[in-house]
Amino acid sequence: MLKVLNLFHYFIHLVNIVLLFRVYRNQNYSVKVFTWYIFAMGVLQLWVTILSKMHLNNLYLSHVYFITQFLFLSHYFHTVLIDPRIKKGIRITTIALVSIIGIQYVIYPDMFWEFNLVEIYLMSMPIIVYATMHLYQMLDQPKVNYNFTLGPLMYLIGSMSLFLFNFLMNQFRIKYPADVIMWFNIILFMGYHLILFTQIIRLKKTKVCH
Amino acid sequence: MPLGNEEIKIAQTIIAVALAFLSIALVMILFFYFSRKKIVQKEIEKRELEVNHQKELLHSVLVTQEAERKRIAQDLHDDISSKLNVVALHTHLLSTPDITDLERTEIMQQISDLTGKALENSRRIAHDLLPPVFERFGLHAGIEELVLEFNTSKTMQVTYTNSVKFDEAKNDKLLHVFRILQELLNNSLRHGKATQVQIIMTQQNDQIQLQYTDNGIGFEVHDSSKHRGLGLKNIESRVGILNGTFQVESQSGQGVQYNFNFSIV
Ligand SMILES: Nc1ncnc2c1ncn2[C@@H]1O[C@H](COP(=O)(O)OP(=O)(O)OP(=O)(O)O)[C@@H](O)[C@H]1O
Ligand SMILES: [Mg+2]
Repeated sequence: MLKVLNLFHYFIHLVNIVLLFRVYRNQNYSVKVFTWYIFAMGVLQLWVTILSKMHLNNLYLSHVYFITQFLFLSHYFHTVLIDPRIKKGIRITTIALVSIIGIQYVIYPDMFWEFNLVEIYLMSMPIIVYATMHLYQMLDQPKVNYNFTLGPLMYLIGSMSLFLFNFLMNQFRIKYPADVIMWFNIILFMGYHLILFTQIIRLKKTKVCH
Repeated sequence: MPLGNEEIKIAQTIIAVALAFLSIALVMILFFYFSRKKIVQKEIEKRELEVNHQKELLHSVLVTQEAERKRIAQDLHDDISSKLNVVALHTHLLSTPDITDLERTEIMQQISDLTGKALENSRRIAHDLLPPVFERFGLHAGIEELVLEFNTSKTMQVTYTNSVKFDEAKNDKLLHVFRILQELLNNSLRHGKATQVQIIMTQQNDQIQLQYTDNGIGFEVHDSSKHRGLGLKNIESRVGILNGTFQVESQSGQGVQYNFNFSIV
């Protein structure tokens, strides 16, 4: 069952990538950024799968995953948000957080091979804030790809809660079947891609000029 | 009892995780708070705009009424009162004892001329106020007569097609349609310098569509800074009375197109 779901989630991810690239040419810049984000996530997924199939350590990829996601989504929200003060805030936050995390790995290179909850928080929380700001902006401005904002918001809150919960359970040394987390993760991820999908099929119909 | 290492660590974990969840909750709460504020603000702005618009329309109605009164007063004064004045003078002359028969017939002739003119003018004024063809034969005939008037002037060619059967019991509402067309035709002639005008009326269920096109110079529809006359404002309030909608499209050099949508029920 888990296997089928797992396969399905690869499938829908792939569908989204293909659909996005099919309409890539006549989209505006922000959609192009989003397209590359989805593409990069796909590549990383594939990489993780290959490594785990070869029984190699793939934990360090979680850092790459979160940092890449953070950079792409920051850039995406930087292009869709209008207020120049918020834009400036995004630039400063991005530089500050990436430097902090970079310095941390320079000082403690060993951490690169471990799971890092602070990093997950720092790489997710700003995106949640940006997405919320974008929702706020769309209250009175024209709606730009609503679900490209709703999706990450839902996904990041979900995955962050999941990681925090997992961490808490581990700290308390509470035993529970590891599958539970996997299930949640996959369902969350599929929900995310279904939300994106509803937006992507709408992209095809409207030719956006910028 | 001092806390053990283990307990401190657990306490730290709980606090950290709680803070993380709290930060998400905080973002959401702030979002709800600010978006509520924004929505309320928008609502107020929208209502203010509506009220202002209504005021403007009311104002234009009053101004038009005044202008119309002035015009009627002027017409009466210039075209009828002045003539009747002269008639009164002439009749007075008639009663003077020492006038010849020749003079008498001359004066009588003049009186008859002047009363004839006054009569004609009063007829014209009355017609302007309420076109009798419209009154007697309904909107379709009224428009046909209006179109004929413009066509005989030769500067503008108006074509009019209509597939709608109007209910004469609704003449008070249909008069608005007539007035709208009157204003549009006058505008096309005066501002647009149009040579061709097309009026098409069709019906779908209850909805009547009126399409008006001219080939004049056109104007900047969206440029509200440009002083708008009363004509367009009146059209707007008349369409409002009909519970209808209308759009204007225009490009300079390519004339003007109006699309009206209303129902007469
Ligand atoms: N058919 C048209 N072609 C070109 N310009 C037009 C046309 N209709 C309206 N306009 C422009 O729009 C302006 C507003 O027209 P509107 O009928 O409201 O006022 P008006 O005709 O100037 O004055 P009023 O109708 O009160 O006597 C006009 O001054 C004119 O510049
Ligand atoms: Mg006018």
